[in-house]
Amino acid sequence: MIVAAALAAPLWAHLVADTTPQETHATATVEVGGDRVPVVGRHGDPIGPTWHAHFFLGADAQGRDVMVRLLYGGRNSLLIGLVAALATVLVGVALGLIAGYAGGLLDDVISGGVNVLWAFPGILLGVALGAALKVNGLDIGPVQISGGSVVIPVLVIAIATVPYVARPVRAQALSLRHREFVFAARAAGMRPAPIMFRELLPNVAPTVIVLFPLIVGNAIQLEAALAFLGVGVQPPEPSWGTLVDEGVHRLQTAPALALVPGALIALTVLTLNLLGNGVRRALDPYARRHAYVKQT
Amino acid sequence: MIHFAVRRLASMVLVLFAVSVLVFLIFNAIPGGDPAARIAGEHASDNQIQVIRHDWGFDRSLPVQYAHTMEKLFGGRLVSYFTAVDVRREIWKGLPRTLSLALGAAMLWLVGGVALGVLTAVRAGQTTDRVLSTLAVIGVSIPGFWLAAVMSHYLGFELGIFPNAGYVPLTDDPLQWAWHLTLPWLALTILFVGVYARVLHVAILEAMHSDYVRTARAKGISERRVILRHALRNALIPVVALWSLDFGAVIGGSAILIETIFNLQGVGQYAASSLRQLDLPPIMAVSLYGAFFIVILNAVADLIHAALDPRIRHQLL
Amino acid sequence: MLLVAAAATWLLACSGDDDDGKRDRSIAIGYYAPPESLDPAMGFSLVSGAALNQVYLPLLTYRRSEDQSKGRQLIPGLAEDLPKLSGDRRTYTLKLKKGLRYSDGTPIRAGDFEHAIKRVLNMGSPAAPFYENIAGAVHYEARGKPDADIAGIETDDSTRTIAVRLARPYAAFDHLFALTVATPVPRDTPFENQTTHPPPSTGPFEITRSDPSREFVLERNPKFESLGVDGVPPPSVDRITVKIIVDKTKQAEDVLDGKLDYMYDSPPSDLLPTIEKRASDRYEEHLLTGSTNWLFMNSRLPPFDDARVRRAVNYAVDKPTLARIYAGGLQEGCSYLPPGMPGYDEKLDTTGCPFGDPRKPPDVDRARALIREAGAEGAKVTVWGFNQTPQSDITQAYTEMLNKIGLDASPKLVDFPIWRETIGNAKNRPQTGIDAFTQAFPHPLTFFETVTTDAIRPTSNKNTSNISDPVIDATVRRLEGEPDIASVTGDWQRLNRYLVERAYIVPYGHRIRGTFVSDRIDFEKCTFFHPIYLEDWSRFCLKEGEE
Repeated sequence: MIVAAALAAPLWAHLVADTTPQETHATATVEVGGDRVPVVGRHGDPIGPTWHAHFFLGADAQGRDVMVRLLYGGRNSLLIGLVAALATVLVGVALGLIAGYAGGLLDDVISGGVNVLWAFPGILLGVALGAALKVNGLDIGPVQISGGSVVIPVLVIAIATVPYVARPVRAQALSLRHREFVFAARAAGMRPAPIMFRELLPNVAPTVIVLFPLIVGNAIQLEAALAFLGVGVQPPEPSWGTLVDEGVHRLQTAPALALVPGALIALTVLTLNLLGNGVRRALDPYARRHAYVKQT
Repeated sequence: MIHFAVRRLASMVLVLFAVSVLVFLIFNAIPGGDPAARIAGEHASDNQIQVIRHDWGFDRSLPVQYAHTMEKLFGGRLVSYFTAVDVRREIWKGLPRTLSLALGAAMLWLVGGVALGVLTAVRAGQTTDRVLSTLAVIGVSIPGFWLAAVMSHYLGFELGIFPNAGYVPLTDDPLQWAWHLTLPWLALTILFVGVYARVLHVAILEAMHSDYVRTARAKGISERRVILRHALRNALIPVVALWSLDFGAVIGGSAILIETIFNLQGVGQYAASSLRQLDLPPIMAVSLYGAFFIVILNAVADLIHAALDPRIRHQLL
Repeated sequence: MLLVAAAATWLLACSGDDDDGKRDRSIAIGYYAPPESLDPAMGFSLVSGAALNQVYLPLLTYRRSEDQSKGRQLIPGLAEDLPKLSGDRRTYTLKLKKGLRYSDGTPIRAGDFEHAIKRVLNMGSPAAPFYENIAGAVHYEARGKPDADIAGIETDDSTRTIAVRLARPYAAFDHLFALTVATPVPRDTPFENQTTHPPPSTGPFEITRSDPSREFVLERNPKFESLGVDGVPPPSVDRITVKIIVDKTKQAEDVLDGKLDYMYDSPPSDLLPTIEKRASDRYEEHLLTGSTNWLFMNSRLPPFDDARVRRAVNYAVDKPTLARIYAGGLQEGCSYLPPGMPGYDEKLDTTGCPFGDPRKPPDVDRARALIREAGAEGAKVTVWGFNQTPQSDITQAYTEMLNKIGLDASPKLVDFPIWRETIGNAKNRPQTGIDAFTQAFPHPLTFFETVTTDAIRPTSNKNTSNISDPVIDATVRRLEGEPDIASVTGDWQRLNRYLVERAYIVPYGHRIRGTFVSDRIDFEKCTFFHPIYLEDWSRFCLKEGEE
């Protein structure tokens, strides 16, 4: 647990460091100090790491600073992961509680919907939604999101991940429904909504808390996979996924472009998973669950 | 048992139906392009577009279009918007490649995981437990596509040990088939093997504490036989259940990424390119195929659980 | 001992014998996208063209010369001679050579030509609009019956004559006999896309296996030499396997290693240093005559409906940067018509460019001033491009250039196969983006027809800038009726300059294509870059000892 916490610390610092207002775009033939070397050579080969303030890790094919893109990309990836996970949990818990508590037709409908999403292969659903939404965005009534907005990947990931929360929550709600304290609350005249909120939720909470870091990790990985396939975060917005996508073609000449973001993804998700394990052990030392969430 | 099976079957069909409707809606309700114009091609005249619109039925209502599409899909006459190739045929051709990838990798990680799990269970102790869980977590955390791309480049191109892309059919040359698939298999295996080793390890240890095993020990059976014969058999059940779930997930998910990177041209790659080109007919077919696998394998997993010895009911997922 | 020596000598002598063609000299070629169709009536893009040109030799063809002007000349293919044009310039008459046979042995007859055109029209080929000018063609299309007659085409199998009457004179129609879509096909070829089992061939190769999204195979056409086409030599390899490998980096790596023999289209720019180091003796660059890249600006949508904004963009585009992103794959330019095309003016393309020499840095201040003057600062602009290297980078760089002069631009990238239809659909409100054009045939009409008012469409719009200029319309209409290109070259030159000066688009250069082959191919002897056919596959030959 302690190990997990220690590993997590640099990530938060990472987030903070991203607020330096650096331009993530630079046009190709900017001259760089020192040796007056063009950022992008005649043959389109960008410069490598300078280990100085400008172009610390070098440039990419358009002359953009790789280090800056890594930082901003990290911020995007982490934020998307976090927000998507939060949305997933909110919606998933709500749906799970309602379905588990209400039972009957409502349960059937919600469960049916959740199961359909569950049956849809995760990446496939993500790519389908991403591809459909990325060109013209979403335009339903008052909601208008442009295709290049970062909100789209958040939405897509949340939708694809909801079943991972909704199903366990529903299962728990189902079993809790028949417990004495619920009967007592109902006998006391409580309406369903407060029952769910005040009685069921606290009992479901540990499950959700344990799941949460895993969901964030999964969201980050899904974001990277979608961006890699071109249906997640749209250029020129950087994210770890788009950086890997841009970088894999340049492994020959500039390996850092792809290796670093990928390693960062792995490290972050690893930390989150360890965190999840630690939390689980802390909350329920007798549970011998070994949980992981992997859609990619 | 029959009742259970029938109910499951019914719900499966329902789910598949819902998946098809969902996909259809996603790609029709979201404005993005005029499929008639796309089919007509670059230099098309308005006249041609009208003709195509009528031929393909785009001028009918959505439910009618949906019915037509499903009818064409099951009747084997569903054709891509772009390349005029029959969709079912394309999937049929891609299936051996995807299955080669998924099944091969799944076997490898299952066998590898079981072997590793048994080995470490025999030498149960704090360190092996720690090492295994670390390995497992690392494996799950690595982005699969990144690993595949890196391996393809360094082991494939730079060092030239393995081919960095391409697929050779099993019927053409079994050795080359396996050789070309080695890197993709490795990439997938690395992701999963740790988890499986750990799951099995834990399951064996649990089984060791059960009454059943204690009785066997009391009978005087050797420790090794206890592990291998009794504990392992029961421990495998949840592992296999998990395996069928993961296998489904790989076919529908990771296969897309790995196939694209290694240019295996299987169903996954076909899915990815159809999706990005907003080519609805193959998208419908591939989504159904993917969902089908997942649903079937979910049912298998559930069946395994249902058939479990009631004494070992721990859900290891 | 003597017997062994004799046997050895005999064996050696026989191994040099190849008139049976039983040797299996095979090469593998990589494509970055599947051909949209291998059916000659439907395949009409550069990608499918490269293969179809090797399989379907039409009535006329182009002289096989690497020289720009010689390679543009039409020579007889399956026809005996070049077509005769009637006095009213509306009827073309040709005669098919005697005794011709398809690759499967069936005889080629005059009526097969009409069947091919019927397929083009009935199946809605992308090339159909070119043939709609034939008298009765539109009526045939409207009727929708495949076996109806096209009034304007008269053929006689016994005299082997083919006569095509146009509704209106069209200066470039003789070129339309040289397109693969107009290749005769057997009369029993169905009216369905035959991409997985294409009709028999009339060219150096035939397609023997076709799985178009994965790979297809071309094999030597045994009947080709009997067609007696002067000037088109038979192929030097027996079999070509074309593999679809979407990742150009992988393709380039495979060519480096010898796993692939040729990659269609240039290798990615970041691998060029490696190629220069390891394989400079099998890599060469050629200017693509017949091709221009430009940035379109939709003059029907703000802010590009204001000519000042369009001129500002013309001043602001940093062409040397774009060339750099193409990493040697682009020669900066300013002219709409490409080099080699009649009407091309080298001066306009360089020092005579009204917006500044394209090889020099742009005049950003002037651009900013114009934007301010037009009150377009902060105008939201979406820049459309597609997901390939280097076009995605070009799109993003262009976006930055627009932002630099005060617009609020953001890029939008789609997948290559749907890019054309996306920017061609008015519903998407495409304001600006990258565009490019390669000649369908070497006549300025192919470039200028797409910038007339007639060409504007709500979907599949090729006139992406929605140019509607009466001067252009009138000049194009007049020049359409002038078949003698030499006499009107000056007119085309002036029209080209006019278009550029009006700042409707921002031409930024012409593609340079890299030819990169594997070690197995004899680079010196057997690579042949034709101005229209580009790299000629039938010239590829293997080095001694590789066979």
